[in-house]
Amino acid sequence: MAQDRPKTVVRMRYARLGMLLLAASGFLSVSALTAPQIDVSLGFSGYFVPERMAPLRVELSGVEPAFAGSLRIVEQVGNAWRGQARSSICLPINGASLIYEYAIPVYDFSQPLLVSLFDEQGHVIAQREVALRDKWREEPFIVSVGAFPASVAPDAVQVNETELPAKWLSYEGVSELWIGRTMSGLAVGQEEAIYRWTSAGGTTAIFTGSDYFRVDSPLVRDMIPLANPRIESGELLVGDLRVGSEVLLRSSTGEPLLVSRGLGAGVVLLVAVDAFSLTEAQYAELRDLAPSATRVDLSDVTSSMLQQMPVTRPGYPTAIAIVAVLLTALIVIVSRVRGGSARVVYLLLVALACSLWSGLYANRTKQTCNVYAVNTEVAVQMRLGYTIACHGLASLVGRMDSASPKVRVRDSVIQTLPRDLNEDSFDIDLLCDHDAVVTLSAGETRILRGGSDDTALISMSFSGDEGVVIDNGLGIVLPYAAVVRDATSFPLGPVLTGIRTYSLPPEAQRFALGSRELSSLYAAVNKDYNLSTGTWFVAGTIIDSTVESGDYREKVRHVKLVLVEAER
Amino acid sequence: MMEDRFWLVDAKITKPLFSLLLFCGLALVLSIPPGRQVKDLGSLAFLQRQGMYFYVYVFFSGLFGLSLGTLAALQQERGRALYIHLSCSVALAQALLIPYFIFARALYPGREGMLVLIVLYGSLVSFLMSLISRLIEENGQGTSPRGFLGKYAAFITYFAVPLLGMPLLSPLGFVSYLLLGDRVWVILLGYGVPLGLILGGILLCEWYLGRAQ
Repeated sequence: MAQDRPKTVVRMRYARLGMLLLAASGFLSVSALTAPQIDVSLGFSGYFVPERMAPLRVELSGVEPAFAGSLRIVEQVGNAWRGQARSSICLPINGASLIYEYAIPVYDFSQPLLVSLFDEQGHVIAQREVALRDKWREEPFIVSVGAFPASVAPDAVQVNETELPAKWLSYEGVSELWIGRTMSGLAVGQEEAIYRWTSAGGTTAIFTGSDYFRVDSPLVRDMIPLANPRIESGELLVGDLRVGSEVLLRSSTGEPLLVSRGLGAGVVLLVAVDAFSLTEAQYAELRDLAPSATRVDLSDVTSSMLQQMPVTRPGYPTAIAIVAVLLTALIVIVSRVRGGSARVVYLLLVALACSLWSGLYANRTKQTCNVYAVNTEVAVQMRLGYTIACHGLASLVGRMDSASPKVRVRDSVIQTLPRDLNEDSFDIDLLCDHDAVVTLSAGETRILRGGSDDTALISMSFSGDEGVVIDNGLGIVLPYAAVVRDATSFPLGPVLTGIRTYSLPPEAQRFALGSRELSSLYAAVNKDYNLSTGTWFVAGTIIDSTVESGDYREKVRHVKLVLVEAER
Repeated sequence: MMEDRFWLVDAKITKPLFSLLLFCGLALVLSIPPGRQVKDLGSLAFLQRQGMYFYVYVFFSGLFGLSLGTLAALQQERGRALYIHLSCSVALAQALLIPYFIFARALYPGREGMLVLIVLYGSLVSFLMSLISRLIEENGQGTSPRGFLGKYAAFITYFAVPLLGMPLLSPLGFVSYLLLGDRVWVILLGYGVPLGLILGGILLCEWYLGRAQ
């Protein structure tokens, strides 16, 4: 017994130690479970195209329901040869949701994307790196959603329908979107994003037939080229061809098999059978016939407007005149006026008069601006609304060396980068309050492009033959407006805010948008949207303003074009 | 030697005053951004961007001060009268430049404080250079070549040499600090240099010119 006692003591000590270790490991594992974590997925199954927008999905775990903080996505662009730039995006997190989806610009693939979660105090509480090197594509690619026969599109990126982004800007790297046999159809947000993207120049192919019920919804019915769609023989979708639709392929029985229809600036392709009923040859024809997505790009027209923007400055003649008056007065007074005191008095009187002249002339309207900005917007209102935006910035005389102007953006923006980043700073910060900050050296210009979803803020309906009712909820008067019906325009005059009825002129008149800027913007989108067919309400406005900042003075010109499609 | 009566504006001061107004006026005109549209603004924009008008103003204020000192040496001015006459002449020149500064406000909007600081600094530099010039020209009474070379050597030493190592000490270097809106202590230090030199110059004038008398 005497020998057993120490053994028992030793065992008990081991047991205590074991319990302590167990408790410690339990505590550590619990704390690890509750530590904030972020799960990030970028692109379509990871694929993206550099210098285009891409979807970013962030899933949070281990954060309290009342958590408030921000996500910061940082990308280092370039390399030692090309030069370096930094893109930083701040996105607010409010804790109400654990899953966040954004459309973010991805500029490069050489360095990973760093996604950090910050708390309210600005401390990093979780971080994740997203490798970009493996899954980048040089050109926009086909995205196929749902099930498809293997080998029909080997280069397409296959995604599950739950992965489809709900922001239309995220689809910028997609050339064609094929919607095949989905498991549970698409969510409303995804349908709306697809509608907007297609309308803004995208190409969507919807495989229907016996799978039509999976994707059928009021919005999809509005998109597809067939009105009153119904299934025939259990496998073929038939219906009445809509105006402007075109049958590209027919089945062996002569029924339309592939029908296309323009939707805004884009194309909707309807495959009347399901994804597994097309032959490989028909798939090949589909690929040949389907146009790649285009992008309604306002960069060129914005850049042109920026270059032609008038400069605010005092004029040379007045400056020369003031100098000349002072010099002449000095000579005349010294040579003609006798007496020193009188000379001083006269000279001071001349100086006073010139000061008054100078002060009255060089007032606020003549003060130079350091930064000039043109914000162009095309607000399109079809069944759903969206805005395509572009921001042009030019710094002429910064605070002696550079200026960092802010651009108010409604959603995300991407800037056009040159090949050589060594010349200037191309860093861009998208702040949490939706201000994009760029650094501009003197004499430099910068173009940013982006867009946003819009709720229906303006609508049009006809009242009899000669009346049109416009509900203008934009909050601004549209000074130039017209109804364009099959390339014939009926100018309306200024469209005021609120619901008002306007009478159409009895005869079509030449449509003029009143300013060179609006006309060039109209011309830029006319070719994409084909405004000469159908009925459109077209309106525009230009607002000039001057923004005073601590560091710079900015002259801003907002050019907004509104396109509203009448009921189709 | 009989001293002439002092006139604030006479034929002798016309030439330096004319030069100051002319060159500052040219700099002002060149500071206006060329072109009517954004696309027109090219290479000449740097003139305005770099604040050329202010450099020219400070430079010619210094030269104007040199001329004032020479005129004072010709008149053999000394004592309180010297300081009052020099101050009045500097103030008159600055008053004649006010229309330019009001015009320059349109070229540098929102930076009125900087304009006032530069005018103040230019006045100090002008006064300082007039004292230095007066001291150097004392022996030749404003007419000797040695005095001429000496005052310009002093001008170059003050304006150019510090640019090589301590730009804050040079008027041209300090203008950059004012344009860029540097820290308060740097600005104060920049003002301290001409103020200290003026004080030293006055003491030197009192001692040297008094002894010469």
